[in-house]
Formats: sequence, C-alpha cells, structure tokens
Amino acid sequence: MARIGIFIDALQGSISTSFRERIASYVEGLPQVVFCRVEENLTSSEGLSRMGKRLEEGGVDRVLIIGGSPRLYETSFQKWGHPLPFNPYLLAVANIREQVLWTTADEEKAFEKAKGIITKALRTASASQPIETQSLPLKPEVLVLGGGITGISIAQALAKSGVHVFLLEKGSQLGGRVLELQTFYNRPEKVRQWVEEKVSEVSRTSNITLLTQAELKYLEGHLGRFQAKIRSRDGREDALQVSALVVATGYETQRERKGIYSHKRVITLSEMEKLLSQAKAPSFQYEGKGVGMVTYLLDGVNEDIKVDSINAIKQSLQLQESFQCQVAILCKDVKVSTDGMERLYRRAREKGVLFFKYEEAPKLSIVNGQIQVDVKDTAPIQKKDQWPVSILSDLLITSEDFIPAPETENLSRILKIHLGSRGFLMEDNPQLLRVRSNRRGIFVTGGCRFPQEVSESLTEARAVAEEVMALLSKGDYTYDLAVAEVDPKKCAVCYTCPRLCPHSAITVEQYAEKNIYTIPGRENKWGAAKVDPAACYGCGICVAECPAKAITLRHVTDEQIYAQMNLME
Amino acid sequence: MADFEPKIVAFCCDQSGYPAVDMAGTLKLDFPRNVEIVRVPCAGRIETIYLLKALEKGADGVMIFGCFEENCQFLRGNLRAKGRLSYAHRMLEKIGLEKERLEICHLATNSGVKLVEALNRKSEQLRKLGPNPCSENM
Repeated sequence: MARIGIFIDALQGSISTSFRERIASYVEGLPQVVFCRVEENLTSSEGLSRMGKRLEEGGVDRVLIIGGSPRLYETSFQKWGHPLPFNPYLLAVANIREQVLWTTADEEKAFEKAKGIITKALRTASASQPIETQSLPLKPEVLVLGGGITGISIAQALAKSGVHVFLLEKGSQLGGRVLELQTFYNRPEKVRQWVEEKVSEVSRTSNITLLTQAELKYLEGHLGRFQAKIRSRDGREDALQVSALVVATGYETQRERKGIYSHKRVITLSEMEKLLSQAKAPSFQYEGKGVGMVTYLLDGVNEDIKVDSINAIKQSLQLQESFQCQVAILCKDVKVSTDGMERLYRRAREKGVLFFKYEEAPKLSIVNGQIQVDVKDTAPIQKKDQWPVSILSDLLITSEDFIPAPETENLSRILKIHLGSRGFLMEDNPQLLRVRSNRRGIFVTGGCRFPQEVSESLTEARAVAEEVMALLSKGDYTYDLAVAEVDPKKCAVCYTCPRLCPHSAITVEQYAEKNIYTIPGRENKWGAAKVDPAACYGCGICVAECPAKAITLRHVTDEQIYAQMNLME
Repeated sequence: MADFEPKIVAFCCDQSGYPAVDMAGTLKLDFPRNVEIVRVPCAGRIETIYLLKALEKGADGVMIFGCFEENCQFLRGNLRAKGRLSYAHRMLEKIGLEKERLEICHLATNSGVKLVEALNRKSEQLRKLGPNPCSENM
C-alpha cells in the first residue's frame, strides 16, 4: 500500500479553520495516510521549503495536496523553482476550493463532497508512477531552407550566436523576392544595395555554409537528430545532420489577365515598381507618353493581406512627389497596421492622393485609349450614401494574387508539417506560437507562412532566431518522460498512430523483439511503432486510438483516469 | 424518484474544460451535486471504453468538455473525441440505451457559466430519463 503524506493548504484563509480541522481528522483516520500537515500558504516560497523539509525526512512515497486548483500548484512550483526532494509526478491535488467550498454553501454537504474528492485523489496518487527526466544533446547546427531576406537574417543572427547554419537556396543566388522591390516604405536605403551588402556579409561569415541551387529531398528523424538529404542541381547528394530546421521559403504571386485586365494600360504593382525605378523625373513616361492620372485598384483578389496597401501608398507618394501625377487609390480597406504605415498614409493624404472605399466591384471601361473606372464611393459615414465617382486614368494598377511557392506542398509532405487552408504552411498557434510548426525543432517563418512585408519578415526572423537559440543555447534539451510509450510486443504495425499524431512524433522502426504478429521464419528485428520522447507533446491521442492498446501515456494512465472517475469497483 | 441525483462523469480537457471548472468555482456558480471531474491532458485522450465503462459502473451520464473545433492545442484531439463519441452513440443505439447520456460540449477556458449551464441541463435531462438501467448497481 502506498504511504501518503498530506498537506492541507489553507490558501490564506480560503479554507476555514473548522473545515480544515474536520478534513484533517478525517484523513488522519485513513490507513494509507502517514502524516497530515496544515500550511497557511503552500504556494509561497516559505511554504514550499517547509514542505520540502518535511519530505526530506522521508517515510512517504506519494504526496497529496488538499487545497486549490492543481494548475495553481503547477505554476507556482515552476515559479519558485524549488527543487522538491520528490518526483513531481507522484503528487496529486484534491481541488476542494474551486470544486467544493466555492460551489457548495451548506457545510455538511460540502464536507461529504470534499470527502469524495479526497478519496478520488488518494486513489489517483496511489496509481501514479515516478517519471524520470532525460536529456538529449543538441549540436549547434541548423538548416535554414530559403535564402530570401528572412533566411539570410536568421542565418546571420544564429551565426553571430555561434550556431553553424546551412543555408539552402534553390536559385543560384541569395536575395529572393525582396529584389523585386526598389525602395522600402520605412527605410531610406535602396533595396538592391541593402540586400547585396547582407549577402556579401553572409558569404564572409565562416559559420554559414551556403548551399545554392539545391533542394531538400528527404528528411528523417526528430529534434536534435534530423537527417536531411540535399540534392544539388548537378545531381550531387549531400547528407546533413542538424538539430533544428527553419523553413523560410517564401511565396509567389500570379495574375490572371482576362478581359479588360489584358489591356496594356492595366499593369500590376510589381510591374509598376520596375517602371518607377527606370523613370526619370520630372515626368513619368509609359510607352513613350506622359502619364498624368494613375489609379490603384486594390482588394480585388486578396482582401486580408496588407502588402498591396503598403506598396500602393509607397508608390503613390513617389508618383505625387517626384512625377507630379495625380493618384487615386480604390480599396475596400486601407491597411496600415505595420510600423510607420499610419504616418505614411497621412502623408499620402496631405500630398493629395485620393482614397475611395468601395463595396461593389468598380466597373472598368476604355474611353479613348484611357481606362475609365466607375466606382461607388462608400467612404461617407452614412452607409446609404454612395457617391458615384468616375475616374479617367492613364494607368490602372491592380494587385496580384499571393500563392504559396510551388514547392510548399511537397515540402510539407517531406517535413510532415501542416498546411493551412490556403496552402501556406501552418503555424502551431496563430496567436501564441507564431513561428513554431507542429513539430518540435521545425520552425516556419516569413512568406511561406503568410504573405508579408519586409519589415514584418525581419521581425519574424528575429523571433525565430530567439526560439532556436532558446532551444540550442543550453547544449541539450531536457524533458520529462511524461510521454506516450509503445509496447513493441503488442504493436501490430497498423499505422494508426503515425497517421494520427499531430506532432509527427511516431515512426515505424525495426527495433522490437519478436511479438505475436511476427511472421515465422524471419529472423530480423520486428518493426513496431516508436514514439520519439523528445518530439512527443503528451496529448494522448495515439493512446486512446491504438486498437491493440499497445500505447500508454506515462503520466495519465488508465488507472489514474478510472480512479478520477470514482466508479464502483 | 424525487431525490434521484444523476451521477455525471465530466471529462475535462486540461486546455479548456478544467480551467472552466476553476472559473465556475471562482464565480461561485451552483454545480449539480453529483459530478465527478476527470482531468485529461486533451479530449483526444478519452477512449471509447472510458465512456462505456462509466455507464457500466454506475454513471448516469457522461460529458466531455473540450476545446472548440479547430482550436485544439493538439490540432485534432477534440475531433478525435467527437468521432469516438459518435462511435459510442452507435453502440448505445444498438443496445437500446438513450444516446443523450453521452454528450460533448465545446468551450473555452473562460466559459465557467457555459460549463455549469451544460451540467445543469444534462442533470435535468438525466433526471427525466431516469437512472441508468445498465448500471451494475441497479
């Protein structure tokens, strides 16, 4: 029988003295209870050190805390960082504050209910098993996929911290899509010069190995032991072993040219960017003729992406200031939610750029070789007021459709990471874990996650560098073995668990001794599913789904769950 | 039958259901008396056998409190739980037991009120259905 030590946490008076005493006298009468201590505030550092002292005296092999929510203790034990002389998984919590005292007014009923919860918790504690920690050595080596501005920035930041980076680029040179821009909206530098400086810096850094004209063919293994196979354009294959992997492959754009959109005076934002770099002040020429009126038509294809808005406002300012053109911007919403954009938008208004807000798609027609745009402006406060406006312009500039790079889908299959609804790579949590993928040790960032502006990509690159350093800086990854575990003797290799694992932590490997499913006459090791403990998050989906019941979750066993259900034996 | 207090086993996902229980406590909301809270790391941990075992061993109803769909910390855990629940529903249909005894409820960490409402509604419903006839202690 387990010998259980009990701490009653009064939670600074939340549990009244009389109730505490009744509970104490009840539990002291139970056979498996060794001692029962009352603490005024167990979650304080003093309370915790007193608890540690009592446990050092020994005599017990399980601990039960009667008090508040288990989440409270879990966070405060982490906060105080007090090394308990005790395996934390041998500890159970009976939550009588939230579940009994605060929800039951009558003391007699409350006592009965508390007794039930304590019985449950005692059984859960008896069923618990100690769980040891393990550590996995991590070499400071990282593979970065994609030599765009995000990949370059990550490689530089990591190299500075002493990590060896393999920078993989499918093209022949670094830089990526940023080179399609001519100017930044928030930096004075010229793009080409700025990128070239960065690229030459990368080639000078000894910590960065450049692999151009190459692509990832194959990836095996988990955090700390990723084995990548890389094939160069000339057919050479390299094997790399890295600790972590960053995906920064970027996005592409496309534009369908149909009907009026195939007219030569309708061009896209990136074409306009090129024209602007070639134009010479004081007048803007298009096909040999001066341009007076330019209209931007945005939000036709991508309504929630702000790259178009930013580029259009940046270009319109250039047109108004350097070339004396009149610019009108038609959009559903002006998106200014990046650093410095609000200021730029206000400057554009001051310079005389016209903004129109539309809901119905504007009508386009050609009048005397010029493009006429008829739009119902809904900018007035009253929704029912719509002002019909028609603009006759020399150039109409439209936005492009952002699509994931063509290799994204294949890459997600190789890396076993998820795709979002639009075919871009999916982050683990859009709010909290924006640059982590669903697999530990693989990060997604930049345009392959969501089409974004250069400044945002740079911020994300910094975030990824921090995340990777947080993982690698200690030299090893220490984790509790509170994970799923396959009993290879029972595994029938049905491939249910590798398919269901949300973190791709399960693979089938030949490591097991023979089991009942072994084909007679075959001598080699039998294949069975294997959970990589460093990659497992401990959710228990595979445990519940395994048809052979070959998988157990070490910290939430069947026994513990049945104990919590408090059913008849 | 007037004093029949249905026993409900409530599986609570550690990401949403369990914080919601804490929230309900903090708000001092009235719980039905006979509820057993079971803390699981994810709704995906709940096996079909747990649902059926609960009914076999004395529970009148089972609730699963998990995260909203597409909001699972482990991506698909709550969908797996939903799938297993409908499998259990089909089994109950075959043996002639009301499938209302098993239910999944999606909520967020701050949905203490919703949780208590769901439990009270379930308790009321089970009171109408009467005690679980396949329970061994009948």
